[in-house]
Amino acid sequence: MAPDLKSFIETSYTCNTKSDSNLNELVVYVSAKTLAEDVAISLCDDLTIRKQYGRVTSYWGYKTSDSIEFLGKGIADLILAKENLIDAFMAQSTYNYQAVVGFPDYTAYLISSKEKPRIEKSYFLDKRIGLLDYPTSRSGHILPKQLFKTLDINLENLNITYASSHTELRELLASGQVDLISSYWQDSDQASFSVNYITPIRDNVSGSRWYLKMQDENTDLLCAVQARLTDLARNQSSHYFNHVESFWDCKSDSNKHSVEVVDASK
Amino acid sequence: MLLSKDKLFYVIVFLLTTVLLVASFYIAKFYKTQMNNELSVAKVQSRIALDLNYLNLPDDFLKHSGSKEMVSNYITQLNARINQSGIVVYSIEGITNSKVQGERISTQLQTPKRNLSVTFILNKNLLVKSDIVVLIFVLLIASLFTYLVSQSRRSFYSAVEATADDEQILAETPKLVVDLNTKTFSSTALEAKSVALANKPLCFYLALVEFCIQYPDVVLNQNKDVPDELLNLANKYFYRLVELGHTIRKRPNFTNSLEKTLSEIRAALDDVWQDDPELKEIYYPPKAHGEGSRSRLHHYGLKAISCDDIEVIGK
Repeated sequence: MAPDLKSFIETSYTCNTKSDSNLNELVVYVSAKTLAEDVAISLCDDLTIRKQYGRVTSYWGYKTSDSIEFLGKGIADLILAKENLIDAFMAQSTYNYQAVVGFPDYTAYLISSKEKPRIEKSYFLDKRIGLLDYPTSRSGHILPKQLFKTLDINLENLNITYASSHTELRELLASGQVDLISSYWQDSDQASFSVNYITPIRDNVSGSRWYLKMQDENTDLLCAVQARLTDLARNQSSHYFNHVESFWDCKSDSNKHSVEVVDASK
Repeated sequence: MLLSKDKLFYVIVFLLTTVLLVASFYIAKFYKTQMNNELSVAKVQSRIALDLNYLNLPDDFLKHSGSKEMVSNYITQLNARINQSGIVVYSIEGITNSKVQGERISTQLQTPKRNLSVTFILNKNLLVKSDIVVLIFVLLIASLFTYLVSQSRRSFYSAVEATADDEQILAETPKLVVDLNTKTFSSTALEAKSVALANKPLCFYLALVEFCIQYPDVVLNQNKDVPDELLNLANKYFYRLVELGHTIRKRPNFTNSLEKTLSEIRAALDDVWQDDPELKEIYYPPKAHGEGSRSRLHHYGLKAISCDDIEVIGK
């Protein structure tokens, strides 16, 4: 007979900083499990965070609704989110979520395997199109749909297949299940697709950013988090994620940080 | 090879016991397995139901594609936790990574929004290697049972034999054989040794035996006349001897010299019961002891005799 089945799906990872008596918990939210764990481990190791927090808990989840809960209700102290989501919940004015580090802006492309996609209404009508199923995605969902709207194409008339990730989108295209997909372009794509068969639909799409809830003027924490996240990003193999941008100027003036925003527009 | 009846019996007892035990084991196992499977399926279903909210399942209505990889990983993890239970989760909403063959059972999980299908593979294989232990145990029990049956049968037979022996011993209590053909006394214990008697004591003794059996209360006293009934019986035996062609003499007078006749009888009985003197008492016409014993109280009849004690051949 089957044993009593305890819950085994993990939704979070907790690590202790070395200050056991400190009961404060730093809550992190990321959509991917491995990143969540890496971030927690890195933050637990940090001296400044050790002074302020007893432990770090990283949550992850596949649902758009999860990130909305963590962000909209101010549960996450540190969250990797897209600018559109922050704007939608006015997270900056409600909980003073401040961008700490960000990934470069990128261009959204229509990618095909056999020809260069044309931005014409007639072109799309007999095509099988692969899009992302989560509505917060700009390159994989919002921007192509905007494009179809400007071309005055009724979505009902399009043959759209939804995928849950950019990787899955690429698999759909490579296996011939769709004729074109909407995504970003990355170096590794040249192995499967041709750079000649991509058509940009929007450039300067802002990349995801790490936001820190700044309810106090906790600049030590801000600088520590920024340093840790920058390190973490630079150790990534992906070229895109390597080019991480720090938004605050933390001059490590021995004990004292003088903090100022690098670019007022961010 | 021909088996003796007994051996065949024990082989049948052994086989029957074995078959019965094995059959009951497998019937019980069959039902237990079925019940266990049902319970396991229910347990796993409840686990999946509780985890549904965390599974990235496709949803056509919400145009959500879900993650096959995640669901497939989940199934693998789940199966690893129930790998002793005899059931395997084959698929959830058609997503599977399993290549396990077997009978599939499709179940439905109803959520307020939609029905989700969960397919199980049930292990219906009743024969397991570990059953060999049970089979050995069964063989041991069957052997023990057969042994006990054989023991109880043996003790039953020996009891029967013992009773038979007792009867034989009873039967072997010697009795007196009077052969009218040879006019001899002998004992069943030792028929070769026979003692010949004259007509008169022979006939008188047989008459005395018969009279004493018929009239156990009549006192026979030497001072009185021999009763007519006794005389008639003696005459009857004499005529029988004549019939058998033994005698040409005239019929003796049984009332004469009674003491001499009794003495001859006693002498013959002494010879016959030489080896079993304790039996003599039954057959021995009592002697009168001493002077006073010739009194009226003396009784030369046989008090203890019965039909079973004497066998008359040629009567």
